[in-house]
Amino acid sequence: MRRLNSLTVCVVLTFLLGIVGLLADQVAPYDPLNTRMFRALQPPSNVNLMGTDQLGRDVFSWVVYGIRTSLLVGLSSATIAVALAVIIGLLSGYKGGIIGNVLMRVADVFLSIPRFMLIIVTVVLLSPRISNIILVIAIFSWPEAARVVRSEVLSIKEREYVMAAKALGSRDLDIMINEILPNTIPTILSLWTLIIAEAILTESALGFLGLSDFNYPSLGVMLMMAKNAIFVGGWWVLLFPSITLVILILMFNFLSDKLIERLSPRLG
Amino acid sequence: MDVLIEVNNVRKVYYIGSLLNRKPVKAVDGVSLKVEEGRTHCIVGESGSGKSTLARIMALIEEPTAGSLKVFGVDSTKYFRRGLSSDLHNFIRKNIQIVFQDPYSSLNPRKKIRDILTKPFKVHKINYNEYDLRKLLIDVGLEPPEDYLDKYPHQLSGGERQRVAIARALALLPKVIILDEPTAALDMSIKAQILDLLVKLKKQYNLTYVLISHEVPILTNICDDVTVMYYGKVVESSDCRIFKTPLHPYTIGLLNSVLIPNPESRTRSIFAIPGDPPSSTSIVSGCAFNPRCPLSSEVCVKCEPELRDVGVNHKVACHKCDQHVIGGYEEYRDSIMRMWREMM
Amino acid sequence: MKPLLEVRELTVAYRVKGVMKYAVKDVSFTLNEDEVLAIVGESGSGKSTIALSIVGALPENAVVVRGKILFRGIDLLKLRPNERRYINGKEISIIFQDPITHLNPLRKVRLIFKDLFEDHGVEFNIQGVLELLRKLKVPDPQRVLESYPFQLSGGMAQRVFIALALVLNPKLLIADEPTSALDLTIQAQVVRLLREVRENFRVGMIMITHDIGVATSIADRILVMYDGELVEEGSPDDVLLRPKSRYTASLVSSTKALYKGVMSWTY
Repeated sequence: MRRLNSLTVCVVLTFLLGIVGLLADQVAPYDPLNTRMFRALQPPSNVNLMGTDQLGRDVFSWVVYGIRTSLLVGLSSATIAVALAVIIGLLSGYKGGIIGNVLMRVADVFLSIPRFMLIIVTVVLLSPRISNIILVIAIFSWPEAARVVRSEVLSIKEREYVMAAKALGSRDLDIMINEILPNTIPTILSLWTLIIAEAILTESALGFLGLSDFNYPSLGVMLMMAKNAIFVGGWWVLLFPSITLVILILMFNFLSDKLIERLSPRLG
Repeated sequence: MDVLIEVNNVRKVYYIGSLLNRKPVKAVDGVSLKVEEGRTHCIVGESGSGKSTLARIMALIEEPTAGSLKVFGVDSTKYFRRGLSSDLHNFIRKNIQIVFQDPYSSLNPRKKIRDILTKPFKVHKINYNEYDLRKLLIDVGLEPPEDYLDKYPHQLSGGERQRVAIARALALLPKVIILDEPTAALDMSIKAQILDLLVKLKKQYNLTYVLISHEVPILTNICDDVTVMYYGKVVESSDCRIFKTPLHPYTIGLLNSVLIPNPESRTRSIFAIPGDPPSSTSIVSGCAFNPRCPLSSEVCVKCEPELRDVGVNHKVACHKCDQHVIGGYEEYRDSIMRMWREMM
Repeated sequence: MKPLLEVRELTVAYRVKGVMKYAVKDVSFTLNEDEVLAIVGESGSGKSTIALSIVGALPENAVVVRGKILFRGIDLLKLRPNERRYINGKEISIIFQDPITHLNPLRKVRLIFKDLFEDHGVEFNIQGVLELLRKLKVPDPQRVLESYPFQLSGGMAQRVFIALALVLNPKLLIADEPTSALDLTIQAQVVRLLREVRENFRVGMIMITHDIGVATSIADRILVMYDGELVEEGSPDDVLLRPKSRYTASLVSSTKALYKGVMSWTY
């Protein structure tokens, strides 16, 4: 039997969560948006595995759909952010020059203003549609990632195999894509999973503040309900979404660490 | 014989420090030399001498800050400013290749050996086939080639990686191969093997080498021409006779610092040039070697010595080395060593 | 005369991905007081592992499968961490290749010495330190004490490092590749310095190196390691002129070939 290593466990768990999210329609017993006042604030039972909230919504179904929303927002915004970060990081790191500097100053501007405030304000100004939320999170996540990619590129471009490629006569684009990019993959993957974790947290926070898309159940919304529910003894409204959120975020953070650990090449 | 590379008073300055506090580092400070076809030109120096920077400039990976570099008769500035026809540009690029010191970082760790070796062909759009790759590996002594083509660098030993690096440089059959400390990171027995390989390949393919090294013992076996560098400048240049009759005090001291493995070495007193080389940012007046030189006098502190002819194919940059003409070479050399031993 | 250090059947392996890779196989040797022993070998021969075993600095995945390292009768391999701290730095010292990375860049040299004294519960004797630095040919020791490590040149830093290793009068000094990757003239300086240490201080030395030239310049006896095994032991003369093992013979002959152009220098 092959030894279980922590990376495999992580990937498997994340995968399972992904399946849950994908098959939400099948897994969830009820329509999460369905409110039945006569079932309000029921503790966990055979009928409602995780109980119901003040509006009679089934917490379990909400959590399942919440996982889907979290993953949807997380994966989409992280992918967009990382794609942007890689392009900008590569260009400004390898080519440098005026463009490189300008891009980094732009990133600095983004980084100097509290990210979350900006996100809230932007979401309020646009309408809280899911596509807007994804885009806004992506736009405010690329700067930090771009800086990381850029600094990787800066150190890789001094390595001798890059100089060797230059000595062979390779063109800049060729060097960036074939010599430098492959060596940044561990960092990129790690950043990607980290941004996913951050995005999930941000998305839930938006939900908590009531700024989420109503068609996409957010774990944050259930936490918003929990704010009041606990005063009347509804601990299940707080417990289950919180644990789910914590697991989601921890899982991606852990994945990020393990990816860098496992994928960095042994240089001898 | 053709001069393939001509270096003329080349300087390279780097800047270190922050925006407001930039200090210049004169890595290469006025170096001139000629590399002739078919010969192995060794550049000897220690860290801080600028030899690696010079190697990169000669390999057209970096541009000099001042001075001129002519490669196959073409001015390098035209090469860098892309002022040449693409044929000529590619011709130059193909014919000067470089092998780096560290076999652990000169091969892209994420590429298979096969990909590393096909890269030169791909870049210059030259057709190749499996036979070409296998022949390259056999040429550098990696047999059977099938065992190596699909491996990654980390699966090979240091000596094997260095052979791959040499194969990569050899792929397009360049006229000149520049080797920057090719054996410094390798074990003793592997050093010998790599040197033998280089000698063999030179004969086989009519190569011209520029060999940069601080490992004096290995150079004596392979050099035709020698240039000795200290703190960014050339202090002595000649052909391989330099190892028998070095004139510049630094060269004399350097050759005497070699720890020879023979039975007498235990009782023989060890010689080391006293003091340390100047740090890269310090400003030195006169001859950079004067604080450590036994012949140093006022003129050495005030005036930078020029590189001038002292014999057939022998140039030295020293105010005081003419003394050897007066008393004879052996006396000159012995008195320098005597003075040093008194200084210690 | 009782030996200073006695290594008996030392066998050390590294656990790599579940597989045990043997780095040192059944190595035994002794070192007498005031003797200089050079352990020569190429990379992967296990020589550094021996040094690390003596000072107890083996990495986590290393396993001492068998053997004893007796230092004045005590088995070093059986020491507990707090007992080990008493020995390291005071009875046994080690110097490495690159002095700068082994010195705290944020601490003045004088304080680095002070820390060392305090760690071992010995009163800080600044005069002794100055005297030692002078013996090691450090010009202007006062200024050096007040400097930070990064302000020192390579040669100076190496001297400070050696001073740190000697200041508490250890009985055994281990030098792990002190000259590798150094420039020729600095290599010569360091070996010369170690020779002077050997002459002026009563200390036994183990010199780990891959350079036979360095070994023959300083050692009384040479051990040759290959692939974890001790294949040769003898005086420099014996090893160079009358090698007993095939590996040593080939090492000597390839070294001779490399140094061919240099051998004729006699001055």
